[in-house]
Amino acid sequence: MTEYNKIAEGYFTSTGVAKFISLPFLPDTFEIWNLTEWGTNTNHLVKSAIGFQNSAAGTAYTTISNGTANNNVTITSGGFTFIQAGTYQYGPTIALATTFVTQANPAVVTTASAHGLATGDAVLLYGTTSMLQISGQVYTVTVLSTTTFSIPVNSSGFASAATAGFMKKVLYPDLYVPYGVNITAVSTGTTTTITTAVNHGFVVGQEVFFVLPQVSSTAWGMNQLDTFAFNTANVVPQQAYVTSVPAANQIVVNVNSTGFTAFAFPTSAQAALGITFPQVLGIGDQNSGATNAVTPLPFVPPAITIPGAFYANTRQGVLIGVGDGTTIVQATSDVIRWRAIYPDVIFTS
Amino acid sequence: MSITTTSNLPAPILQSLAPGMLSVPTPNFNYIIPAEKYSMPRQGGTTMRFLRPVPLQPPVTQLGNTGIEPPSQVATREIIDSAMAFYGTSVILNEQVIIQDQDPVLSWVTERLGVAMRQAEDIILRDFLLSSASVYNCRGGVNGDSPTELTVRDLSAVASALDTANAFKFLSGKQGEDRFGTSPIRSAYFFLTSTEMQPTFDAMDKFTSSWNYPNQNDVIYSEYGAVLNFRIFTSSESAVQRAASAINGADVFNNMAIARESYAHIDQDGYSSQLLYRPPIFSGPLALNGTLGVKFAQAQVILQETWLRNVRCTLGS
Repeated sequence: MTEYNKIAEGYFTSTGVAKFISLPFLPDTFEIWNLTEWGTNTNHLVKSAIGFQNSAAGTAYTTISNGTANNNVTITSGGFTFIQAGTYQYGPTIALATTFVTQANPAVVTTASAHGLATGDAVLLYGTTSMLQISGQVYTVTVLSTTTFSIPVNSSGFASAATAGFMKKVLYPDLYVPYGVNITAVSTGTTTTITTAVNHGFVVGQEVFFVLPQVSSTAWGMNQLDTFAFNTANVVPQQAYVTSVPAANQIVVNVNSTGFTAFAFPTSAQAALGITFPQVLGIGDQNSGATNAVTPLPFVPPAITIPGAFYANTRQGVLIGVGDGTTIVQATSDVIRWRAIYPDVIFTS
Repeated sequence: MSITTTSNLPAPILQSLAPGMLSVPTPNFNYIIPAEKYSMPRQGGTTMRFLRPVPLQPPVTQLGNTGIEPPSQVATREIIDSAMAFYGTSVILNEQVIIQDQDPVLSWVTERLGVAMRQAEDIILRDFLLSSASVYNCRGGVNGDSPTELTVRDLSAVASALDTANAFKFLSGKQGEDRFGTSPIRSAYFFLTSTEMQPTFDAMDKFTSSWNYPNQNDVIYSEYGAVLNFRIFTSSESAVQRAASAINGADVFNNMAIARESYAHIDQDGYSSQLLYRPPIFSGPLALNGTLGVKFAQAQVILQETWLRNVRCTLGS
């Protein structure tokens, strides 16, 4: 060992979903030990695994139990993925079923093949024929089955269901928050409740502003909330504070919207001509809520007490998958010990 | 008669080192250009705080003759904070490289570290704007996608939105001069876009190439031209979402329409760039390795959220 080697270790208790380990360096080697399964012989469960940066994404060399003894298995998906993320990255494109978005609250999406998503994942939908008003937007999903999931959109009033289209997973959605925090519903009243397409990351006390581009007098509507609309209602540009966060995709703001024009989606035909989605964005330092989604936090200055201080969300580390469907890398409540290694030099001969 | 040639009398060494290194393809670093530049003082804490007064309601109602004073207003201000972050990278050089290599390795590694640092600065600003600016999807085009290709109508709408938000323009325009093939240029906002968008501008009837400006004062290398109230700056490193449009799944270009004072770049006193050279003597018992590194401190913040738009578009069909 010399001064340039780097080793980081840690542990976590699995929640049964992929786990991102944020690191101050991009390791060459990453290994885990499943301490919960170590002394057991549960079929298909990984006891230890190792992965290398130059392997394909999702690859891990595992030692698993076959029920009676240990066995060595290489998996090519759901293993380890070494990540340096700062630009848009998507998963594979998946075609959707013939009738794939229902007219319902919430809208339910059906894929032609297994989508491989987990609740809380972000998905880009596009090419949604006959329901273009939801197209081109990223949504946080709730998984219903291996081929269905719901999105936070009330499509019950839409003219028809979508009859074609595609989806692809946004791999690291918290990189882009608050970008893409589009509004899918607004409840009016003495305070205003806003539902967003993706988990917003805002915190109580965050100051926000709104963009509600007018497609027509009825599409999107509620121009009184639009910060860019300097009308008689907005002598001073419309801004507000988040007063509560009822859900990861909902905020309540201190805007008395009683009497405002109702919020409404445009029609599919209007969307076909090109639309801008309504947005809610933070004022000032906007990304702290988003960064809080990453644990442990990378490069966080100490003692930031003011909501919203901006950090570059670009990060690096290793994503620990849950396995390839047969070999299980981690299961709920498993205690996983991990080690990341960056050696001085790698000899290749 | 026999002739002695290089075949039967080869030179002792059949190689010559070409003088100078070949150039390295490097993008234009545009995102730093329109940023307001601030510097945090040494021992100045972790966070730079900006204050912005909230406008007061104009008193347009007559006082009348009742002698009763109207209620006063409460003066408030926006607080906008930006926390400093530190970045850096290094190269470890074995001393034998420095001693034996015929090339001035330390020199060009120093140069590359400097470029990498400025490139990081620009990428951080790019991703920050991408994650923070409000979006305008182009809809003036005819390619059948959403957003459509960028058109004069879209640029006019965005300029109108910035003007309606009372944004400040950067440049006061260029008056026409008596030079063949030139035209006056309007006072302008900045428009940071991709080099892949250049054909779109070339086909735009309101486009004026930077070479057709009345003069070349204040034109910089990455400036491609002007359309309406925008001066266009292109880079191969702008923000593009591949295969992400709503209808056709085409590439979406995230172009930044920027007014003056819309965002800031902040450095820390004495830390805007640090080049660190440690000779091998510091590296261990045998002093085998030297290191070259760069560090810098940077923070960024949106100062006027309505003075900045992410103009998203696709390419024409």
